[in-house]
Amino acid sequence: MRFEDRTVCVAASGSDAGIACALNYLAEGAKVVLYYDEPERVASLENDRLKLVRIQDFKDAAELISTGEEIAREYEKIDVCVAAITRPDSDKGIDMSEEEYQEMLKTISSGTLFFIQPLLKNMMDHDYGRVAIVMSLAGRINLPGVSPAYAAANASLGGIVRNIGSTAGVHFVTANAVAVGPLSDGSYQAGTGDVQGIIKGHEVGTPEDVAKACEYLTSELASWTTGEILDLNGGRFMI
Amino acid sequence: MQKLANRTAVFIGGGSAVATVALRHFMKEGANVLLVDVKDEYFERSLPERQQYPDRIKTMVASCTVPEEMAQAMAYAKEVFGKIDILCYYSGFHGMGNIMTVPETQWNIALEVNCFGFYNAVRAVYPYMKENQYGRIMNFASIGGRANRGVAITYATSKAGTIGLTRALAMALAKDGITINSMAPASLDTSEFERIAEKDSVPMKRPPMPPPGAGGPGGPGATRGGSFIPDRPIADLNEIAHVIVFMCSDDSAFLTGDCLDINGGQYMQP
Repeated sequence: MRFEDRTVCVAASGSDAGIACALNYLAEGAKVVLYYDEPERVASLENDRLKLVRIQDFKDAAELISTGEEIAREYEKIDVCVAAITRPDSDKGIDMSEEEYQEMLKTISSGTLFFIQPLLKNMMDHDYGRVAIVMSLAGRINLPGVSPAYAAANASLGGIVRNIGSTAGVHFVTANAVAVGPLSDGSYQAGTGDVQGIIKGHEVGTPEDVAKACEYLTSELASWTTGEILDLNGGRFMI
Repeated sequence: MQKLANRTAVFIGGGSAVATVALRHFMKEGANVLLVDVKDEYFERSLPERQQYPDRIKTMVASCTVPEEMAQAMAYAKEVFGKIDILCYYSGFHGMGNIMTVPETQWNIALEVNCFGFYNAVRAVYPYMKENQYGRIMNFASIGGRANRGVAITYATSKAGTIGLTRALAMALAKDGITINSMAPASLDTSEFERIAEKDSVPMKRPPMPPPGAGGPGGPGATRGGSFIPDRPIADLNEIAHVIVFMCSDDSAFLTGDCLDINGGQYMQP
């Protein structure tokens, strides 16, 4: 049990990646708090060490902050925080309306920030923490057909991990991201080109691949890895 | 659950400090390991582990720069353990000098060990991994090959080269279910082990990298920036071993051609 006695908060929206993370941490002995906004994704989850927290709107900073403060009071010590908040890309590209643009940015970028912010204070207060953010490959390289809003929202997550890494490192808190291509559950699909991986028999990443990468980055021994982005895309990033 | 249960690994440069600590983690995670290095004296570092696990750790003297010896090492691993799942390449050479002062011999050795040696090792292990349509290959690079750290030109060049080589080999071998990644750590705490000079190295007259803020070639600030982790100016080798286990396990099944940076946040600084 690699995470026994650890409390992990996961935010899952728009993908099963966060759900897979929660299940993996439970299997490794952690207490898990799972933020969700899609009841169907969590319908079958049941565990004595799992607390489900319904979020009405990941764009609502006030809701995320008050929820985080409540969780921090209830658990006293938060050790790990994983944000896997995404939305499907739009096929309208540059013709997105301002409303759609704001929806994308505020859900992915602001949702991630305000999920982490109140929990980070708790981590800094007890001088230990691991933050992992799941982002799209579209935030790392240009993918043909990807909307500017999706690319911007995902690229912004890299800025968040570097900022947390450099400001919270003094409190032994590390922050890193996992940049993924399209996953087998249909999430993180971006653009119109072929973005599959090149590993024979494993051309498409899975939510479980993401969960294992997050486990690696949030382990106690990952204490010297911070401000980095792990490109988990089956080799697509090279091409 | 053990992450490397019943896996067989070959460690080239297996007598290095990093390899010795990684060996402890590989034992804990259930792997068999063949240690390969250029001199027997390097294996003295892992004596306690070899005494504890005599059936799971073997050693062999061979040079990464000699293709025939790499082939012999892989054949031996297959003979004693039945298969090869993992290759870890730890061999390295610093060398010395800058653009104006680098001795040709040091330049050549660095490229031989840090690039050609890795190429040799991968070529030698490939038939065994291809046979099983499975493989995990880890190449030990350095932040010196990723960013300007004021290191010797021999090191900066050959480590950057080996990261490129990793990507090229990853592209070529993905069709056989083999993943290849490199890792680029910053400075490591090897104080647990007595230093053994690298074969054919020339003693340096000054440290390769002045401390942050101390100036040096390029002026003050050229090598600024240290770790953001207060108690960790340099890495604990167990932290490095943790990365290696991840890269060599099924946890990284969708990762190839990448270079993982482990540096306490130094790489994100200007």
